[in-house]
Amino acid sequence: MSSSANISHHDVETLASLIASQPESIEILPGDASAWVPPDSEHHPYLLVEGNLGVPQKELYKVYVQAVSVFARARRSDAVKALYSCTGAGSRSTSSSAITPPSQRDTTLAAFDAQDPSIRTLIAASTILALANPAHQTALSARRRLISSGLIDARSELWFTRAVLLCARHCAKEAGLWFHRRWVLARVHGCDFGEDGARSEKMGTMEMADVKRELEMAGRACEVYPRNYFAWMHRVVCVRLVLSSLRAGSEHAGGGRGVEFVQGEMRDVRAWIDVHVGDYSAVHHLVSVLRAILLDEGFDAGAVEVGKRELEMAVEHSGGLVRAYPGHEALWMYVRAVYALALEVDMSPGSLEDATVDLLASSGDHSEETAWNAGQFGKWKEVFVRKGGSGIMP
Amino acid sequence: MADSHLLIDKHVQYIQNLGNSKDDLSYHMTAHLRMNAIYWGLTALCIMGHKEALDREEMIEYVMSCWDDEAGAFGAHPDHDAHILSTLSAIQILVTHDALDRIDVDRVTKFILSLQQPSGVFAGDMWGEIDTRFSYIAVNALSLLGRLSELDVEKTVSYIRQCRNYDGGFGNTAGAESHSGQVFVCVAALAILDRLDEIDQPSLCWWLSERQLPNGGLNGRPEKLEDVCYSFWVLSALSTLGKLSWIDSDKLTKFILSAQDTDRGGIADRPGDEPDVFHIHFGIAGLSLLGYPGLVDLDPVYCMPAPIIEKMGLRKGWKALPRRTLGV
Repeated sequence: MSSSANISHHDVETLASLIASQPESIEILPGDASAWVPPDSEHHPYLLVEGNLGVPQKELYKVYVQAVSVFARARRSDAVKALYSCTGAGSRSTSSSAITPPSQRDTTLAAFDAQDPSIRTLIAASTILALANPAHQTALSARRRLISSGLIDARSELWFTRAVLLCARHCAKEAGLWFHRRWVLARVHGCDFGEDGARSEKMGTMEMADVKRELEMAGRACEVYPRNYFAWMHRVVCVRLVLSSLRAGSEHAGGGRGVEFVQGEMRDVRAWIDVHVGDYSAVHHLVSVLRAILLDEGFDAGAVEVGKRELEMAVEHSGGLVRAYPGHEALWMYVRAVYALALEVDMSPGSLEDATVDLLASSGDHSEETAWNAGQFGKWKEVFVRKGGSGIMP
Repeated sequence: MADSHLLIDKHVQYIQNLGNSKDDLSYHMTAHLRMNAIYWGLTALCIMGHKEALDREEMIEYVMSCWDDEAGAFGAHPDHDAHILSTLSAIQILVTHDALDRIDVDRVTKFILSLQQPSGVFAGDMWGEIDTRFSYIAVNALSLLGRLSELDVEKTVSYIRQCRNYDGGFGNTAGAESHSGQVFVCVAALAILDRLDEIDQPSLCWWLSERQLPNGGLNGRPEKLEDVCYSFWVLSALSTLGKLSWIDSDKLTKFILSAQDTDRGGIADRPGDEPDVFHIHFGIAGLSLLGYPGLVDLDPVYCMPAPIIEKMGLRKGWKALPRRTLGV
């Protein structure tokens, strides 16, 4: 019995150490090792090529089943029980924004031994559970406890979450994993994403370069899993962090860089829409950011001017796209959203009006989808624009 | 694969067989949502009129084995941390089995209320992930426990209001894209709190009606694929707002039935895919709201058998399609 327990332990630790060496990327390969990995290769059944780690899916799942019992066993150990009682509800460790200086840290946390076998297996097992099944809340929570007590380095967790998010479709879309990344980001950068609405006196922020890295990552995650809801949510949370610095009276106000950032983001999202013409998530993001700047309170006049300029560009952009690809519902909804926003801020929808009038007139010559989209747009205009049938419309 | 009627016996058998595959990989990979899965299976059985197909005592024992005494709430599986998702499913299972007396209501109430954030949204657990789903879960759970009066309603509603988008839909957090699942939770939460006035009904119902695709199925967002689970989420919101007629119910019924696995039982997200208990539950729930013959009424706000919710005095003003009789 004990030898099989050692074997399962070993498999979990082997894969976990390969991951801990921080390869360039992790990829989950379909099938088993026989399809990918020569039997005599160094890291069999895994593949390590130029720093890129390939894990055959069937091998990963074998180790996963072992990791489940290893994790459960580690949870029952005294060392881990002590860790859990120091990092429980009500302790400072749960709040991501509580960056506690070493002198104030609970001294019992400092006493945890990273070499304790149960702590090591908790780390290794949770690594496997999180990689194969990032929806496993309990595994991610265990890692947060380990990070709180310095037993897992927060920066290396940033590396790990990025690697997992980008390694497979089911990982890229996992809500809990995106939240986990933001929890870690907040600790590493000393910032507060403000998601809970708490009025922190000192609402820290991330460096622009770090924010841009998050936006780039969200974009990559959308390539892995199109229309990725939680990647776009992550993106808007990060953008809002920067927007807060555009508000008059913000201690981070330094208008110029914030404005540049917004213009850059709008440009990037328009470019994304150009090559993903059915991607309404991108449209929503663009319109959301514009609406925040133009309609929310507290933005200075300079920011609002930039917002109006960006709206004009969105008017041109949406009109051009819907003429080119009238079969795409997302583009008609882009037109609707921009049209409605223009009216709300007393701007004329101008060229949008022309584009849609032309399309409505010629819709019979187009595909069924175009005819449907044009018809819906016409009805929408009747109900929501002319007759003011909506509470949101003026 | 498709059939023109609901294969109740096959689906009942599929659900009964779920517990038999404890050695399968898929069993391990879904441990983190086991409590939810049991609630989905049980509710589907109830709506199909076969509540007795799973053992009551065994189920209650399982629920209680997931009690996290440190947190005062339920995890999804023994040794899994407490979370609001599994806590609601546990409550719903016990309510369905008339065993709510097994819960320490004070402690569970305390757990739920402790998760409300300054902005009014609820977190899923002590770590702070927020989502309007969790707001709905808190409202639903407190309502079933008879403790809704302890909720700060204004605060809860104010966050949901911030999640209302320009298209009338709702996202999971302020600024997030409208999504049928998030629309369901926001509308249902507002229904329980008697605050449907917060909804821009013309825009939202318009948006919901646009979820129906030419094949009759419903999607979650523009230009996404149809999926059986949206049959519930979209229908629930329309039924709560009294606009079920804005969807072509014949086409949707045919779509749901075409997603059945006629050999092994079960319903998938769309025709030809692997079935699972999640899609059986939401497919059956959708069919019930559409008036499919032979099914028990489903309360679209609580997503539980309507007779149970009515008996508790919690029924809100929703309208399903009239139940058709067999052979019509």
